[in-house]
Amino acid sequence: MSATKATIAEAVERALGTTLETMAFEQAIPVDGPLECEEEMYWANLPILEPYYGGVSFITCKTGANMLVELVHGPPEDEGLPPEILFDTFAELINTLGGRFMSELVPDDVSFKLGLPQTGRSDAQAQGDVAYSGVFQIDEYKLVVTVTGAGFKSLVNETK
Amino acid sequence: MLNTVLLVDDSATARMVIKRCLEIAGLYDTTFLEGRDGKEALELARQHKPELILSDLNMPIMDGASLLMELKADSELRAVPVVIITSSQNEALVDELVDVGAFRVISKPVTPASIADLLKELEQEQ
Repeated sequence: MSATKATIAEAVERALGTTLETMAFEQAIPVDGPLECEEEMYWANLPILEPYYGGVSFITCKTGANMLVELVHGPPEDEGLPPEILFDTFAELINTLGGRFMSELVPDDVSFKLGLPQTGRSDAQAQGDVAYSGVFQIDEYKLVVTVTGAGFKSLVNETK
Repeated sequence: MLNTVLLVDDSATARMVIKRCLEIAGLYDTTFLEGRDGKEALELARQHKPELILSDLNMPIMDGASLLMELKADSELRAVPVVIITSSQNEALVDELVDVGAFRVISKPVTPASIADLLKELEQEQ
């Protein structure tokens, strides 16, 4: 019996697709190349506690972050997006993405436990063992999804 | 037709997404009440007697499971269907919540289709 239903890459792609289609009515297309950005970066991270310890995160530049929030909430009525709405949206996006990712990855009879979403702004890179990193095109902006953790990394090695 | 629905989630974005799904599923004229945690939701429920409650599981102050237990212990609110929404997957937890009285436990992301199914089930059971 396989330990997972899909590879990490497949699980991320499906999870991101479902999350963005349902919350932002937008598609995520896997693309090559790095995320090049000269402005501030915004990120969200969700710790995964069981059955593998690690995390799933995404990062994008400021204009991409604003675009994502507008896709979810609609255009702001007056003076732009308040930061609390941006971070609240990012927290809910990563919470949903993380849950879908684990649902796509582990068999249906395996329970999983998630931590609380974290959000922030910086050019911080994902910490720890990177098991997967993928770049996606959303509208005209790029977003990078990363999965970290020794447990996830061992899954990658198993499928090699 | 549901006149009043209570949405409970610490995320304003999550509440907005659920509300949008309920509206797309046909609840155009419903009044939506919003609580940020179980404690706030309990006060709103006692005050307004909603006909359906949709609550997140993981929330600060009072989580969805505690809210569910409080509602089921309240003689005026125990008949109100409570739907718990979660991003985790745990069959034992789902069984536990259903045993305590949850009408359904559904996974995020909430979609108009999953909400439409839920409303159909609710109508059939009532």
